Amino acid sequence: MTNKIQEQCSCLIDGELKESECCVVLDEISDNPELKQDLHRYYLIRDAIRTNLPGVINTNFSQSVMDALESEPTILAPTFNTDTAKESSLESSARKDNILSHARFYKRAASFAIAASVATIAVFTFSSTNTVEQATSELAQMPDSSEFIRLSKSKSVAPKTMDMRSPEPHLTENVLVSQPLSSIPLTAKSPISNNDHQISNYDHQIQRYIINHNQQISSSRLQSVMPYARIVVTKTNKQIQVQDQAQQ
Amino acid sequence: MIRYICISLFSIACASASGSEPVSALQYLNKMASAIQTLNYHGTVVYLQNEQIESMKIVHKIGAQGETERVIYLSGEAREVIRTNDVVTCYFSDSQSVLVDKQRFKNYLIPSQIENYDDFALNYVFLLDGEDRVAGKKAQVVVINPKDRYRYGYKLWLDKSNWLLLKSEMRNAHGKIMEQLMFIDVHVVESIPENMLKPDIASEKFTWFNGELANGDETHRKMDGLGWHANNLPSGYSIKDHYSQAIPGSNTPVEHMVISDGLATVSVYIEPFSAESQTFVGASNMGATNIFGSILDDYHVTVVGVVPQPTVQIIANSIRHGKVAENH
Repeated sequence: MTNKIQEQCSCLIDGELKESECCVVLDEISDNPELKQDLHRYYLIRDAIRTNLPGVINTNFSQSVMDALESEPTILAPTFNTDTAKESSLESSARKDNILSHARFYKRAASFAIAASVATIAVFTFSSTNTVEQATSELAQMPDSSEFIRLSKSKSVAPKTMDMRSPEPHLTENVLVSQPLSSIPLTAKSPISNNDHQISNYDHQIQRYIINHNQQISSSRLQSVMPYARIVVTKTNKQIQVQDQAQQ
Repeated sequence: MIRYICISLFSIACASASGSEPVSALQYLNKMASAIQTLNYHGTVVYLQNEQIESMKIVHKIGAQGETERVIYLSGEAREVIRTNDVVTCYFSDSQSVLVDKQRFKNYLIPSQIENYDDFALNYVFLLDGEDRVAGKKAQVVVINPKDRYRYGYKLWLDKSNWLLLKSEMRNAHGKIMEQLMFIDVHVVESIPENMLKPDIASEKFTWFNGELANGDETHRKMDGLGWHANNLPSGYSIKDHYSQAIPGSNTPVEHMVISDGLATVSVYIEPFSAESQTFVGASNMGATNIFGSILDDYHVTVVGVVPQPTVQIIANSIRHGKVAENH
């Protein structure tokens, strides 16, 4: 796999390629199993950075993401020198600088994003009694990156480029994945340091939504009193009132 | 009249497509709906979620004041839900709080009240699945299977003597049971004493939260002008309603968008997101209920629904803020 195609993969994931460029890259990927694997790894890293990981996770997940990062040296040290000398337009140069920033950003940002993701996932999962089985089932249903690529290739659905703000409380600025490295506060404390506070807040917030949904939505007589059963078994914490009073 | 014509056409279409079975299944569901609206009953149910079994008592009354339903949680901290017509009141002794809100979106699958059978037929298959026994009573089994992975299906056991719903299972597209509710004893009675519908939890000193906004009518203020809309929803889903409401613990009104396929219903909550806010992004679940949080511009979008995880994620990614370009 050449550096160029790797760079293009990076841009593809960030939705920065033109449609014509997308088709060229996708054609190359479709004929190259190794490239497919690399692209899958990029998506994994991207999802870690965007804390866009599944709600349930196995205990080796963070290590697998770190392994993916470690096995990805090329995108982090692209050799632009030769090509750059041949490029004359400012637009092209700026774009390659941006790609470099992306590459560095992925490497550095992922180191704390993984921790944030794993910590957040621990918060997200209310019950772990059947989580592994459920995770397997749900993940099996999710479109994998190859399906995603096919969708992109149809030109009807572009790769997702939603801007995500980090849940890390110290990162109070918008964190765009495509943002230059210099503008991202990578010196923030570890997200895990404030973990306990986050857990209580997330719990509280999710509880409110679940209860409200089941209160207001009587989706069908088929469910009998099932919405109310969900309300009374919804895990509540005794901080609900304390937090509300503290917020007022 | 148009409604009945649609129902008749749908019935004929079902009968010609796969015999008379789907029509019979719908007829049983119609009887079940009538039973719920006419019977007084009380009993004990078990509720299975996340492989944990919980028990509850249920009291249901139809009277001059309308319909009242009470659910009493029998384990752990005392909790109750009492619904009087459209008003749902939740009592939580552990948090010393009472939440009062209205049922704002009804989507009953009652043949005589439904006009969108074509929508159901696109997304679900209605079947009969023989007979069984539940709570010592002979039951007719009705199955509603989803046609894709974006919604759950149902298996229902109806009392053959009065068509009361004795047992309900919610299943994913692979047939795995996600939730189950079943009567272990049920008593259909002539009348229900009023004291059976009063909460056991003394709530006078609790904190009460009301979902109504202070200015009353504004609760249902349409938010079309704010321009929230959804693109690329999963097949069969569309926006059914949207309004602003109060949520306990939030200082500002929350935009609430209701998205449904006619049977499954999903809530989208949209709150302003400030630099001081703490929120979550990503997927979570509680049993069959899936949640997905995302950030869009300066807003936090939370999608909650008793639907598969991909559905809430796709809906979350579909939400956009801007001028509504399409008719909803």
